[in-house]
Amino acid sequence: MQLLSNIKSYFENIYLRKLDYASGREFTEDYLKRANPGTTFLDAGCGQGNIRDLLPEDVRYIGIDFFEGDNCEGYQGWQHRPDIVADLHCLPLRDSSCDTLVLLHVLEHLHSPQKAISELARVMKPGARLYIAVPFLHQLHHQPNDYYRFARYSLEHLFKSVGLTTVSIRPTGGYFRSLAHILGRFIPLYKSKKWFIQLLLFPLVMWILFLRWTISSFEYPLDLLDNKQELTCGYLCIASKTIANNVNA
Amino acid sequence: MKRIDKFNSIWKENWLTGIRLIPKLAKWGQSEKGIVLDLGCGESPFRYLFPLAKYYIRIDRNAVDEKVVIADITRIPLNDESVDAVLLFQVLGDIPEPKSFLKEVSRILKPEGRMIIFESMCYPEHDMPHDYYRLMPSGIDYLSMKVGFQCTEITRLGGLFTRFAMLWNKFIMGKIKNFPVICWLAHIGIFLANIICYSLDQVFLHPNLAENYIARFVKRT
Repeated sequence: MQLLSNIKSYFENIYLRKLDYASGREFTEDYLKRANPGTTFLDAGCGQGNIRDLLPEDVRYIGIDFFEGDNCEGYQGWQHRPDIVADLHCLPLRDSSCDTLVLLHVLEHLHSPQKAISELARVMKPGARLYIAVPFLHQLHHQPNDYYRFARYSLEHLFKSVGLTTVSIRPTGGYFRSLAHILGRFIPLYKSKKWFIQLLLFPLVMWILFLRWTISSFEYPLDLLDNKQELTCGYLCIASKTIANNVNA
Repeated sequence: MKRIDKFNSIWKENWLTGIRLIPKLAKWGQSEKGIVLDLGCGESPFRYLFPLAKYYIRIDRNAVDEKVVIADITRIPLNDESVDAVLLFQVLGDIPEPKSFLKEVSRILKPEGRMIIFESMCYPEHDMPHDYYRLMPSGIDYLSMKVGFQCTEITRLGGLFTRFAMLWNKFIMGKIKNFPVICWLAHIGIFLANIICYSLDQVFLHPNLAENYIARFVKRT
């Protein structure tokens, strides 16, 4: 029985750690923790702005997006509207006005990322932090507005070129998570085929699904083997504007 | 072993890329009869696809043989409007400022000159710290348009399973290759992955998950 419970706790542990590291829970908690009452929280490229519900009442939340919801395919049925409809390359906000900025899965859709980051740096208060999540391996989406994938050095280069300090750049997952991610894309593709092709290829599909299931259940311990993490699903990065930078400017 | 063998042999890891890339590139290569400039050439594995070129100039950061001109490819040591075609094979991602680099390429190209790009969309990070972006087709289209190019064709190569095979061949089989006794297993693994993934991609083509793309631009006059 002892053994059984040990095994059980091991799997629970794996599961929890996995969730933690895949969804970037730490990352989310980090920026939510910074949103103290009375501060300004800028959600650039907010979409329907789900972060709004997670924040305390007295935080000033500003959601900016280029799309309003109805004017673009795939955006219908939004619960919230963005507060400001604007292009992120040209923010309609005053200098040094925001305390916490998030840019989640948006940077790859901007045609001039450097300009957008410099705009965000402009509206940051000294000591403010910018949280960015970008995909690396993700498929093309929201075409034709899908321009870049960023590697580690490009993010560092971007921050340095606009005078921000890199706090951390963390890959989300390594080789095995990427493998599971790619195989997971197969399921909608299979469903879109005609029924006789589906039937014909069913045994093969079972193998692919089995492979995907195995890899994705063990992706956390497996990714510990991949210590370099040169191939990853994405990056979570934090940059800050130091007070010294502001003095120089 | 030459680098091109990796694209031509079914027992090698880049066969899946080669089988889609080489016919396309050979067709484009036949029409290049002037001065061809290979930027970031490395070993110039695709040189034989440009047999009619009058001159084939190779420029790279560091030379693999004596025919390479060693220069900074962001400041090309050539006159304005002096080249008929520029080849950029897996170069753009390694440059921190792709837009100003494309402007430099546009400077040395003759009017109506061609720029041929072969770029990977998901290749793992390599050559650190000289690895910056993966430019998506719309990204390269946007940047080229800004510096005065006209897009004539962008073709995505491969799909979901090509991507999978790339990961499989590079990592798992690449690791097995390092062990002396079982290295032959890697060749069989690569061979099987190549065949299976090629046929699966014929049935389930997922163009949004393409592994590479090839594009041709013309300099606007």
